[in-house]
Amino acid sequence: MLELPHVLTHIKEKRGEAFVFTTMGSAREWSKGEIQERDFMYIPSSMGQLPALALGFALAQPSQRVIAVNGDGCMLMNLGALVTISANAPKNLVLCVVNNGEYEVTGHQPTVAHSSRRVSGDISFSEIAKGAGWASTTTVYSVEDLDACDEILFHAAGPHFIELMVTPMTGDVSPRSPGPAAARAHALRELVLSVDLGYPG
Amino acid sequence: MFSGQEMTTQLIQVGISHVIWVPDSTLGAWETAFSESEDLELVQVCREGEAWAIAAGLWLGGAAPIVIMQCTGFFESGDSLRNAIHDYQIPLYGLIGYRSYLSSATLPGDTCLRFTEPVVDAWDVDTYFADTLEKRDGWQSHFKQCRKAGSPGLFLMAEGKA
Repeated sequence: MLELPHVLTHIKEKRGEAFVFTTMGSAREWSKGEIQERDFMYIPSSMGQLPALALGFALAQPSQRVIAVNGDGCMLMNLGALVTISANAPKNLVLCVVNNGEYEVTGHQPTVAHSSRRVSGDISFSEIAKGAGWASTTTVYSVEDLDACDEILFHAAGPHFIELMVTPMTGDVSPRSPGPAAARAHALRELVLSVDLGYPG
Repeated sequence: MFSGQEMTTQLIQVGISHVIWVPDSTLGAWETAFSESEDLELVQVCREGEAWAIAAGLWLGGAAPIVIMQCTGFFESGDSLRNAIHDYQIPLYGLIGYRSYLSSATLPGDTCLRFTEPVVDAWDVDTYFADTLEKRDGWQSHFKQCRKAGSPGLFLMAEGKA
């Protein structure tokens, strides 16, 4: 199993010019480190909507790599987004789902996809994505697996779906505000409009 | 109220780049015209909450989207709308089909007639309501006012057979 901070550090170190969208636990941990102007921490969120938000951005900026780091609880709230994304098939989008099997910020309650809530074992988000039409899906269990994913995570044309099996965080896992929401959103758009990133419109 | 070609032309006139939508039996008639337009990108979603979030992402990326859905989908998608336009103050614009409004005299049983206007009011969005054919083209002025103000807006369009 992976640790979420290791996953996020890995992405931070290797993302290059990619835009990185995070939410819930990943956004909380991401905001503890250095923040770049191409980061968007989707807090507050409409829980479940990060993949849709990232899809929109990826469609608007087809020449820019977009990495979205979603949670398993969030993914469960909007599984249809997997079909919407595969229908549009943006080559520049990578959707990661960090799977800890629980709703961390609300007190570690298992999701309904967790084996403790089921008679039929764990749910595989990678298999769901595959069934939803994603050509590239993988599940990452270890640091070695993660290192082996660098090509699809940071370079290869997508879309790619990567399920990352992580252990639940301990200690203070309460939500952490990354700052005024509207100001961050408008700053990102201003950044996009101030630099020629290839949007044809 | 509009043919597909009429709506396509009007969307292009106001500078829309992407249409994010879920068709209903009225709006769905526009699909061919939307799809055939070289100036509009059509993004169909599975559930309406996705639509506002995709539109928000498009706006963040510099595009000019519009969301099109029926009022029933608007009911479902409220949290996503709230997040985009109130939390992040993203000036999205939506066209909402008001199911059964023009059939209210002959089809009074549709509870959309009871809930649509109160729900639209509840989300505190500047709304233009076209309840007659004569008012239909006024949405373009409303759209331009919203864009100039940098604020979100809705075009509530009556549906049904008059």
